[in-house]
Amino acid sequence: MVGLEKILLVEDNPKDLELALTALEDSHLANEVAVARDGAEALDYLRRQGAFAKRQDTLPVVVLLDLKLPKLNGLEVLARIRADSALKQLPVVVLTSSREEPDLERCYELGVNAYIVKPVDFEQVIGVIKQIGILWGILNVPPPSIRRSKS
Amino acid sequence: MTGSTSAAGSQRLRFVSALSALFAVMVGSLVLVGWTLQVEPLKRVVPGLVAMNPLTALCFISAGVSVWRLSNGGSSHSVPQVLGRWCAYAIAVIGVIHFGRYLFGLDFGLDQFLFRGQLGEPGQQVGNRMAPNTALSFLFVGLTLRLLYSSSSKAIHYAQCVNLLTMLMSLVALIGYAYRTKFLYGVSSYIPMALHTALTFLALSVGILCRRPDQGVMAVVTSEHSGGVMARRLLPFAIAVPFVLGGMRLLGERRGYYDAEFGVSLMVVFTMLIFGGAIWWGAASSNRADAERKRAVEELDSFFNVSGDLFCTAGFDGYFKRLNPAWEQVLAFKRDELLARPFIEFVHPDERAATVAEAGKLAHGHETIQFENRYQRKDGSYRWLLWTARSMVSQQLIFAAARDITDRKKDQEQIQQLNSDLGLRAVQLEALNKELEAFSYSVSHDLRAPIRHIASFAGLARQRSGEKLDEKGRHYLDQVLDSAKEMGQLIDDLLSFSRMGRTAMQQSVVDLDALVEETLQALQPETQGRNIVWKRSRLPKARGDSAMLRQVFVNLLTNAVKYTRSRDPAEIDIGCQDGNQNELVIFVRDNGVGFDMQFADKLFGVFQRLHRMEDFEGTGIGLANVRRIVARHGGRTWAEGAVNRGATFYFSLPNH
Repeated sequence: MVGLEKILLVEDNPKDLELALTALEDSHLANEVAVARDGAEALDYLRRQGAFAKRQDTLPVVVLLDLKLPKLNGLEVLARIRADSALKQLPVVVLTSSREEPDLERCYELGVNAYIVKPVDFEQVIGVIKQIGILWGILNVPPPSIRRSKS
Repeated sequence: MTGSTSAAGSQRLRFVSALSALFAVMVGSLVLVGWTLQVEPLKRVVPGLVAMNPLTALCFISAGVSVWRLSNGGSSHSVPQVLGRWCAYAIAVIGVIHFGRYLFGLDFGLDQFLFRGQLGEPGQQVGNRMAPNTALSFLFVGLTLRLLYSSSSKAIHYAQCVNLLTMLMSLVALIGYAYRTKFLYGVSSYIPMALHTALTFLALSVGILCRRPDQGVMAVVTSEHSGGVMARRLLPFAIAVPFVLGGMRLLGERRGYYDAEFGVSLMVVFTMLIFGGAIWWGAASSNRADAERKRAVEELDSFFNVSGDLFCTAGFDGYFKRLNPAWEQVLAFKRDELLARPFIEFVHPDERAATVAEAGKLAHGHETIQFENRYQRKDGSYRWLLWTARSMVSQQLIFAAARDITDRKKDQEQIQQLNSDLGLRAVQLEALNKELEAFSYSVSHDLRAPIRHIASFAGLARQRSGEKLDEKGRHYLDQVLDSAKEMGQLIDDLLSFSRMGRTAMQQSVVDLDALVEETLQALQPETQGRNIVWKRSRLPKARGDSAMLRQVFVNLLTNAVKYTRSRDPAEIDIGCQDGNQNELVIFVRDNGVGFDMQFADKLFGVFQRLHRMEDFEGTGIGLANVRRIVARHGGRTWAEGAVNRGATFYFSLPNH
């Protein structure tokens, strides 16, 4: 069932997390949202290791990735995802405060699927997250490897 | 006393020497052949004259060999050298023995040993013996040769003196033959020196003199100096004139043209005349040479004295010998003070060892050297000197010229210092730039987050709980939202301004007209519904970063549109000033609200605003960006305006 596809939200800041979850809730998406609070946890989740060793479900249809993260930062997480043969097709959307050029270049070099700068304005934040949820959680057809990824 | 004879002349004289050795060997050999084969002309040259003793002939062969060996040099222990030396000994011993016979009556009869029985002389009571003057001459020749085999200059000097005695004796005999005065070639009642013996002695003694032409007594004659020139001119006169005049006098007397007194006076007068003339001639040319030399010396002295460089002669003993006036000017010491102490004492202690080493090289005859050291001034300070020097080992002198390069050194040091300062500054700037980058990165990430949170949560509150609040509460929340939004804009502007200063420029040829066109298209939303009269003149192409220059037009045109909001119609001119060779000047003129010229400078500052927020929105970053971009292109920015009378903004781009 399409509506049950999962979204992985990687966000360390509780306020940003609350806002993102509120926005996703508001947009009435049926997707389940998994949350990782730092880069290492995100990788653990995706690789089913550590605290997530018993995870049974498929891979998320999209990873919403912040760049400033504890332990491993967003760029490092992205690099490892792209280097991992099981994860490299995973759609990753960077969702960050900064539009600094070095970040942009690095992300696209690593093969990011989208780079979204979080707007300051509340309405716009809600709008942007809604659109991301609709595009990547519903409209976008994820790569076949994700559907087959159930262990 | 060497070094002043020309190499070619020296070579020629050595050839003469070898020739004389050959002559002696040939004469000796021919005489022996004559004795063996009984060929009288070979033995005595002219019939009726005495024959050459076979031992004399043998001695000549030895002497010839000895002189020949002398010419070839080589190690003093080589076979030819030892042979030459032994020949010399043998000749001397034979000379002593035979001369001793005449002095002490001791007769070993060595000269009677060869061709015994054939040695009778026609018309003489005694047989053919070695004449006493021949024996003495051989003693001299032997002695001379032995001395020449030693290479000390003193020995060579003595050798040449002794050789002169040989020459004198042979000349006496030859003159005797020439004048037919038997007394001169035959000593008292003894057998005379044979004619060819006398000739061969003369040849040998000349050959020996030519052997070492640039040493001993001969050095004076062969010298290239005026004394040598004079000697070579006058000596032939000294030999030929008395000989010829004497002969003529004798001839005249013997023929009875005049008596002895007249003959003597005639000879004296002619001698006076000819020598007087010869000496005058020699003196005149010597005077000329001296005058020429004096002029050359004066010329050199003028250079020496007038030079700003330091010239000196110094002895191998470590003292200055001669200094030019520049020394006193540069070092402030008096000449006498400089001459009184070893020069090394004036050298900076750090360079003394190197200076001594360089002087040592010069003392070993190294041609020219160049090096630097410091010399003390009278006031205790030091001057850097750059030296060029060469030495004359035979004179034990160093000739040196020095240039004061202290100022140059100072300049060099200063340049080096400035360069290293500059390098340091560049490194610091680089670090500062890195820091700035890190700072703005941090601002970009960390400062925006809380603003976003404020805006978002205030927005959520307004949306979800807005009804529970009264009018005032809602107003307050709106103010919070507004401020947060404003703050976000400020941060974005600040970051873009900072980025504008840091990002690398992508230079290309930019069509400014096309940029204006694009900008106007982009401004459509702002211009919609406005009555604006655009005046555009053609803009040329310029060199620069296209994206940055677009930003300039966006900012200037946005401003023009914004500040003419109250005008109907608004007039906006975009153009280019003519008549400037070095730069291209672009302007944007409007008929808007204008500004007070006393704030003209503030216009381009970061976040500087001349209007209230309610009248004209904006953060005040636009013109700061314009100024920064234009400055990065090497251009200028300025503005003219008056309150309510419009404004004109200018920027220039350098013409490449």
